[in-house]
Amino acid sequence: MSATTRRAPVSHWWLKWRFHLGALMVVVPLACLPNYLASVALHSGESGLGSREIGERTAGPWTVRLAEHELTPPGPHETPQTVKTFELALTGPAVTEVRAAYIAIGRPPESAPGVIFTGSPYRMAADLPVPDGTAPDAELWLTLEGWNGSVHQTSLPLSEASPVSAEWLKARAAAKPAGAP
Amino acid sequence: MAKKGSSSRVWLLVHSWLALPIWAFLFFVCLTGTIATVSHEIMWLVDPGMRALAPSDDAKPLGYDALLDAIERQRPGVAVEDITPPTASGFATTFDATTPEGVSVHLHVDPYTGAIQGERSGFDFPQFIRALHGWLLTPWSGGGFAIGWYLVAMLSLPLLGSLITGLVVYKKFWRGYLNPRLRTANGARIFWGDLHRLAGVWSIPFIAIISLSALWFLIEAALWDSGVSISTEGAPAVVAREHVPTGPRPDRLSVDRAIEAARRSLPGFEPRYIRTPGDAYATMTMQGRGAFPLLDEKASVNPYTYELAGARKISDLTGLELVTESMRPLHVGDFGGLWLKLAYFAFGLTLTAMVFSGMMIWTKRTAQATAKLVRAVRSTSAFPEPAE
Repeated sequence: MSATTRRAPVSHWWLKWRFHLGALMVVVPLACLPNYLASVALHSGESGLGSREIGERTAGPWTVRLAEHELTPPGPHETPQTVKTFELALTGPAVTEVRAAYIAIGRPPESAPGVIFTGSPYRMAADLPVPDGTAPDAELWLTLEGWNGSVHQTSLPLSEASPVSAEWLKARAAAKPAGAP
Repeated sequence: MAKKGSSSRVWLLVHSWLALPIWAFLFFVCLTGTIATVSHEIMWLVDPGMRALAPSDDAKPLGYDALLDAIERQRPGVAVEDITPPTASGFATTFDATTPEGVSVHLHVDPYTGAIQGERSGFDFPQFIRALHGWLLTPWSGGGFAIGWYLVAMLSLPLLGSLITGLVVYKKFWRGYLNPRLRTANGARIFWGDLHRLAGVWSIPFIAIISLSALWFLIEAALWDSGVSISTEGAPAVVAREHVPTGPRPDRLSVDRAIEAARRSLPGFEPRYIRTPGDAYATMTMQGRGAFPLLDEKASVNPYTYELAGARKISDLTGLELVTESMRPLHVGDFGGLWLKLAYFAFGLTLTAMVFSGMMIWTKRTAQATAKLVRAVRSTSAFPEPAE
């Protein structure tokens, strides 16, 4: 048998089907579907507060729940600035008594308490800017401001709030040569 | 003459090759886009909670504050974030809210009685079909456009190319208007060819609108991802610290009063989307159709003083913005009520059928050519090849 006829079924298949291979693009949405559904559940709060709940934190009379939005290191999100998104839920009396909640790296002055959380009292989010050179052992500060004007703060280590961010900062610090600005 | 003939053969080849290798992908995108134009109407048919008919001819819908009071009575503590008034008569008013458990829900409310008649959370068909059509469900991460957005928007190039080369190849195409021809008795090749040409000439403006707006979506993504902005909109208005009251928590804001405030600056303003303040220092924002049928005017109102904090009229847009911001409504056809949506749906089906018929013409024509080729190969292989 000649080589030509041995190859024939394959080349015939190729000739017949090559222009229908664009149908394989359907694989893209099919492959993305689980991730899409998980993202819908995350953004609608159906899978709970954020991707990983950090736990309850109390500042003065108020208790809030804090969570990491996604288990990813800081990066650009809607703007080119490097940010890490956190979610927060007011609980109990805080729902009606707290006017605003803020998050910052390092203890902020009361006049500039950091980035404000936006959304409903039951699930709000803030994109916290993570500047270059942030120490992996930095502290995150939550500031709660009441309708009555009172302000209460609490803090937690960044490594506890977002282990993946602390690891990322450690890796960046290690990658930078000693003495570099 | 011979020269002219050979150039149209080249154009026909270009026309055939522009979409053929990707026809199935283009077909998928056209079909999902067609469904997306009427996704809300599909939900209206499927979900009785989205339907709200006026109880009588002279019935007037309740104000937004009365509707919000009714929601609070039925679902105590729920936090309303956005309000979408009925897109057409017969539709319910939709309130997007968060429950005390932290779950986002769409509440479909009868605008005449305030009754919550439907509740949906999580998966949303119109949102899903838009994501499937627009970016193949690929993730948006890193602050840039999804990769699927580029894959889909790039189809604007073969689509626009097909339109242009199609008009070059189909001489005196206007005859398709005066003397439409669809032969069904002369075999498949003739039928698909007639259908392709007939559908093509009748949807020239539609294909032009869809492909040019899709080309803009490609440019828009490329501009955004390379950090170029043409927007003159500026940052959203915020409430000055001294305007935010200290003392007892203020009562729930009055949406009706905020609309009145917006109307002082935008006479006759009728919102088609209302967003309550996202935090204590944010304004209430609204958008609604203005003098220009394609685009929304926007207003933001201080939720404590009910003063207008900002407005963006059509006249505030630059000429370039007027063109670029018109691209989305032109692409999706949501600016002229139900009949325009149905027209977009019908032309969308036509375009989808053109992609399919184009492929059919090619395979019918090619099937014959291939059969010829196979016969030729068989006759040559009848002569044994010399042994190696």
